[in-house]
Amino acid sequence: MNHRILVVEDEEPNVEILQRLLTHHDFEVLVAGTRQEACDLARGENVDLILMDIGIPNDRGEPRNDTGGLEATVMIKSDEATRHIPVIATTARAMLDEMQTYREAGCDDVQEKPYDFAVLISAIYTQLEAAKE
Amino acid sequence: MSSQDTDQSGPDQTKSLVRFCEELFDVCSSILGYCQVLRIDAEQHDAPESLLADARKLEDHAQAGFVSVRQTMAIDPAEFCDGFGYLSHELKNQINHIKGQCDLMLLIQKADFFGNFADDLAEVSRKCSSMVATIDCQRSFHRVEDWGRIEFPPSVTTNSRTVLDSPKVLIVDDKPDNCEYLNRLLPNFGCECVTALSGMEALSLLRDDDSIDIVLLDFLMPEMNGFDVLVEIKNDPRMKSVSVIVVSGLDDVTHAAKLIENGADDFLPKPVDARLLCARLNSCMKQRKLKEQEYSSFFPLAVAKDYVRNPTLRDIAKRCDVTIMFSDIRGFSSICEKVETSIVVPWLSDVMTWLTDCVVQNNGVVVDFIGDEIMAMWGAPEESDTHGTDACRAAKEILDKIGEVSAKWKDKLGFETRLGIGLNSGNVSVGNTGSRERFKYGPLGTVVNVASRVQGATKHLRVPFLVTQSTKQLLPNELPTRKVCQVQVVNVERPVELFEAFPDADLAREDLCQYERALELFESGDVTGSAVIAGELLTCFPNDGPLLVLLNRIASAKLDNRPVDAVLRFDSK
Repeated sequence: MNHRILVVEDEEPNVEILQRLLTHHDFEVLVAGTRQEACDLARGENVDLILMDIGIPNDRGEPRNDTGGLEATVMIKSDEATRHIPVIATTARAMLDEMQTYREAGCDDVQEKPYDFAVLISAIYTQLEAAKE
Repeated sequence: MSSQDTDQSGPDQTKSLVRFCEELFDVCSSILGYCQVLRIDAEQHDAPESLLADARKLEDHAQAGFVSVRQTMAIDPAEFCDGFGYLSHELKNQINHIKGQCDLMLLIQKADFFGNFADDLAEVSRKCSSMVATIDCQRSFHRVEDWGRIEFPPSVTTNSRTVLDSPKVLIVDDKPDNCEYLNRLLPNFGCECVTALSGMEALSLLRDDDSIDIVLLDFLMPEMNGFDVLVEIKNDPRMKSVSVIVVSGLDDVTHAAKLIENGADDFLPKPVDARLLCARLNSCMKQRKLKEQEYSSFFPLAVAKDYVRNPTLRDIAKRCDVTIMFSDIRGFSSICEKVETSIVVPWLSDVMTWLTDCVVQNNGVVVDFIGDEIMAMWGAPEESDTHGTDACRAAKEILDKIGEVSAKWKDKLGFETRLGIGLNSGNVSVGNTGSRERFKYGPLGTVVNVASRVQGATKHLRVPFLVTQSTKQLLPNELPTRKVCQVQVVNVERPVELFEAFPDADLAREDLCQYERALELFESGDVTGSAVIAGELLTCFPNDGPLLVLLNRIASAKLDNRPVDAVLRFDSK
C-alpha cells in the first residue's frame, strides 16, 4: 500500500513538478491550494505526510498569505486528529534565523526551494520512518 | 522574525548591486538560451509528445524567470535594498520552476533522450543552483523584509525556422557559455558556426576565412569591445562585406543607433531570443542575396557569391587565358523595321535570357548585351582549363535549341530566329571595364576584337558558327571541323584562320577534307585545281556557304585576272 502525501502548494508549476516527482516514486498525491483546504484534507483523508508550502492563500480567491503555510501547520498540529502527520515545510525563504520559527510552528522538517529532489525524497522517507514509531 | 536595519547607502552598495544584477542577468540569459536549445532540439529530433511538452514548459519557465530578473534589474537601488527579502523569495520561486522542471525531466523522461539532451538539462539545473548561490551571497547585504508584490506577465513562445541559404556564422563572445548555446542553437536553423572568444580571435578568423557570411558580435568584451571590432571589420576591404549583427545587453537606443551608423547591419538585444535571431539572420541573408543578384544575372552563382563576400576581387585586373564568344541575331535590323516594338522587345528579351542561361549553365560569364548581340567569356573570373571546350559546348547547345526558340516566336514575329556565333581564344586583361560606380566586368585586348570579327564573318560565309585556330587547338581532335578560310582583321598582323565546328551532318569527313583541299589549292594559287574539286563538291552540296564563297573567289580570280589573295577580305563588318 502506497503512502499518501498531501501537497499544499498554490503555484501550478510547483504542483505539477511535485505531483510528477512523487508519483514517480510511487506515492499517492493529494493537492490543496489554500490554508483551509490543507486543514480539511489533512482531517478528511488518510494522509501520511504533508508537504507544506509556506506562502499560500488562506482561502480560495484570497491573496497569498506569506505565512499561510505556517498557520496551517499550527492548526494541523493542534488538532488531535491530525497532530501525528509529519509536516515538511517548503519555502524559498528559509534563513537560519527563521528556522526557529518553523520549529515553533510545528514543522518536522524544512526544505528549501529550489527543490533538490534527492534531498526532498530522502527527507520524506526519513519522516515517514520516524512517524511509524 | 528579526529584522535588522543596515546602512544601505554608498557607492560600494551600488557597485555590489550592479554586479549582482549583472551576474544574475548572465546566468539567467544562459539558462534561457539553453532552454530554448533544448526545446528546439526536441522538436528537431521528433521527440515524443510528452518530452516535447516538457521541453516547452521548461522554456516557458525560463522565459518567465528571465522576465523576473529584468524586473529586478529595473528596480531603483534605494527600493532594492528594502525589498530584497521578497525579491529573493520571488526569484527563487521562479528558479524553482525551472530547476524543478529540469530535474523532473532528467528523472522521468530519461528513456526518450537523445544526443546532448541530458547534458544540457543537467547544465540548466546546475545554473539554477548557481543562480541561487548568487542570490544567497547577496543576502548578507540586505536584511530588511518587505512583502511587496510583483506580477509576472505570461510567457512567450518562440518558433524556429530555417535561415535562407544556410550561412556561415561567426559567433563572438568572451563568455564561453554564450558562445556555446548559440553554437548549439544556430545549426537548428541550418547555419554553420564558428566561434571566437575575443575580438582579436574574431578578426584573425575573418582574415583567414572569406566564407563567413555573418558575424554575431557581442558588445561588452574585455580588451577589444564590439565597437572596436566593428570598426576594424568595416575598414578592411577584405572583411568589410561581411554582415555584422551586434548582440548587446545594453538597452540604450542611442547606443544601438551609433553601432548601426558605424556599419553594423543589425542589433539584437540579450538574451538572444531564438525567433528574433532567426528573423534577423534571414534579413541579413536577404540583403546579401540582393547584392548577389546584382552579379548573378551575369555570373554563375558561385562567382556571384564570391564577389559579394570579397568585393576586392572585382578591383583586381589580371591576365587570363579565355575564350570569347560573340553571338547575334541574323537580320535583326530589318526585323525591327518590319515588326511592332510590342513584339520585338519581348522576343529579344526571351532570346537573350535563353542565351544567358546556355552560357551560365556551361560555366561561362555574360559580359554584355549590345542590342541584339551578346558577349560571353569563359576562363575568367574563375580560371579554367576547359574554357575552349565549355564555350564550344555552349555554342552547340545554342545551335541545337535555336529551332525551339524560333518555332516559339515564328507566328508572332513572322520571321525565323537565326543566330551567328563566333569564338576566339587567347590571353586578355580582365577586370572592371566600366567605371568605379558602374561595374562592368569584361576582357580587353585584340582577342576580343577578333572574336567580334569572327562572328561577323559567319554572315559572309553563310555558316552559323565559326572559331579561330586558337580555339580549335583547345578542342579535342575527334571533333569534326573544317577550315573555312583565312581572314584579315584590322590591327591584327597575321591573318586569322577560321574553322567551322560541328559542320552540317550531311557533310561527311571526306567531303570536309575535299573542301579543305580545294581551299589549300586556291590559297596556294592553283585556281584551276581548286575549281575542279570545288565544282564536284557543288553538285552534292549546292547550298554550302563556304563552298559558294570559295567558288565566288575562284570565279573572281579568273574573271578579274588578278593574283590570288589567300586571305579573304570583307568589305563591311
